[in-house]
Amino acid sequence: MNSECYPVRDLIADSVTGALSTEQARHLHEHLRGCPDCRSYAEALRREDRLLGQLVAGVAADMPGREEQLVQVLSHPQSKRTNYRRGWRRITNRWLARLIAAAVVVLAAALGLSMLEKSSPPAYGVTEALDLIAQAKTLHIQGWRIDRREAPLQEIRAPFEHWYDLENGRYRIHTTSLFAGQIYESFHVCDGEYVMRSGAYQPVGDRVHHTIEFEKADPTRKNDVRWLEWYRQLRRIEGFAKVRQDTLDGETFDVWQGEYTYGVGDRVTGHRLQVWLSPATARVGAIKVWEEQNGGGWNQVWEYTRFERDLPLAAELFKTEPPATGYEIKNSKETATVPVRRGPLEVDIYENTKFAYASLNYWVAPVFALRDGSLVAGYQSVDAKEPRDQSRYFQGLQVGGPLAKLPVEVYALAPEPNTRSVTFLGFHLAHTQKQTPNGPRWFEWILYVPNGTPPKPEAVLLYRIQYRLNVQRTEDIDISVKQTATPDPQMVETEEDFNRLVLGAMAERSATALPPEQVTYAGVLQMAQQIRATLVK
Amino acid sequence: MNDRSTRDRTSASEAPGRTADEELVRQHYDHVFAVCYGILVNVHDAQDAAQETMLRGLVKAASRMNPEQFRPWIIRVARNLCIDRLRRRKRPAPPAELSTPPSRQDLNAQLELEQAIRRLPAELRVPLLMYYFDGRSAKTIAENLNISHSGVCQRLRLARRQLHEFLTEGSRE
Repeated sequence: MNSECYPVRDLIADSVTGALSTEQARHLHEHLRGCPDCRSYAEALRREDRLLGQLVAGVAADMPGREEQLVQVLSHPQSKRTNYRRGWRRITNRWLARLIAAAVVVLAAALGLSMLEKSSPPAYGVTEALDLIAQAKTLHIQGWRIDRREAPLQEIRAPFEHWYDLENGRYRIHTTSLFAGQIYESFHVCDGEYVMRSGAYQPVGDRVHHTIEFEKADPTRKNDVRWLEWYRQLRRIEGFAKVRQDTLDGETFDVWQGEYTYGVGDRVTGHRLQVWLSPATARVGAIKVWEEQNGGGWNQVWEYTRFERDLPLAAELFKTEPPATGYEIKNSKETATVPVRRGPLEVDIYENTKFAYASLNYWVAPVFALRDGSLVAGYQSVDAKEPRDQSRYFQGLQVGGPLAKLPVEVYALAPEPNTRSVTFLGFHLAHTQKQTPNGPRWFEWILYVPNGTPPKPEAVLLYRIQYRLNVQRTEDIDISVKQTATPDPQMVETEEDFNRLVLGAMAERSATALPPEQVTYAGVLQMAQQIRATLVK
Repeated sequence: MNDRSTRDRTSASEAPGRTADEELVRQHYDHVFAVCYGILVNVHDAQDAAQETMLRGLVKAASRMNPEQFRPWIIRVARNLCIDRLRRRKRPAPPAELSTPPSRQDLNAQLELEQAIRRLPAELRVPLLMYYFDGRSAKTIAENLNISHSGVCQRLRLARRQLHEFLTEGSRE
């Protein structure tokens, strides 16, 4: 490609849109005649144009159906609209939700619709029953996840039990799973203000450590629990077929069934969902989920045996007092923070690359937004092929100077949407070090200063990470990864916030349990101001 | 040309059996859906968001909003609602389902394309997808998003170039 080609590439893109003047079109035509590179570029863009057209046509094909569905909602009783006005957050990106959603599309084609219309008209159809679940004040749910061990072939039923007090944003979730060869129980409990979460890890050659960690509940995300979303999304079984009737404990249930596919590439698997729904009381009697096997046939993977709504739940269930023994308590309520939230792009890119599996890794968390628009982030980067001791990276660093040359160096953050073309550039603030059961860990604390007028933190969807790799190695690193995103920052409005959140976070990641001495609120603000003066002309 | 969105709402129920609400759905739904899909890049999420937007919109329309302002207003509602949902996403968005089962080869091409589309910044992604929803008319996008015609063309240009970069990233040395 020569220098002439650069502006032509824009013309090529415009030509696909059909936005060229006659003069421009003529110029492009002449260039293409003599430039095979640009010709193949033009062909590629046209091919992508066709693909885009096909993709959207596929999506748009069902537009009349969607309109029809909405019109149905409008012309039917208050149930749905009332629900929307109540403002239920119906977040639909949960994978299970999507599974069920897909079923609506797939089902009609996949199944012979064997409707059981012989019974008298039901008091509760799917819509009304699901509205009752969505509007429930409490939920109590119990069942098993069903795993299979290959050798010896064995079915393992891992029980779970959930309680939700939706009015007060409290919940208690108990699950069991296989970890390090043994079944163990984990839980998280939210009392409306704090979340107490259990976990486990196993240092090499050591026994399993059970841990407890506290998070602060995010008041803007009350009841935003993955499982709960799934239950709310049960409403998507509208469109399933009634396949039979069944009796559980003397009560008659309609069994609604649908199938769908889920996954990507070679990992697409079929799923089948059955829901036992009482037409008389709108009670959910049971739920079963199967997964299709490679060689054909179905394996059951979930079974819900109890699904009760609006039962009174004891307040003790939602207490966040840690058990007296058996757990390593990793932090306290005082230093608990609202949990890390990742931007959607980060996760997408993770899925798309081998980065998560590379031996080179990094983490950015937590992130704090200061009043003046700067950000403070804690950050660690580990190359598993290097010695554990990272102290050499931090020798001779200046406060307010360049960052440590860690294996992955996040030198800037770009907010999105980025209408003002502003970038936050990183400057070394401090570092802390802490001994963990996995060995010592070093944390770099970075001050990110905007090089222009920053957008309001609440207007930022996510901050894209701009990083460079400071290691010369390619065999297990996918270096095509160019961006990812930070978690949402926490707002630091006052010195008191700063001391509690930022210094607290530093102290938690420090062997001395104290923040670095040189970091003060006034000092950081002043440093940000000085740096900014040099960045912004 | 008769711009449907400017038709007087009180006479909207001229089609036999259609209510005014229903008429509004027919007039605006596809545009609202296009914006939602542009932001969320997932059929079911978009459908859900478009439905919620329309239901909110109809409440507002019931208070007799000026019909000429209705389209830009409801597009804004859709946009805000979708961005709000994006912000609240905690888990990865699985690849969008395709409405018709394509062949494995097409599926791969489509999945790659979708992944690339997701990586575009929203300010490029939304106009690019709307372009295909709105009958390849930059003018309609400009009206719906309330940006200039040349602004739309510029975004489409950047979007196409960036998308191509993403799609060919792995194939170059």
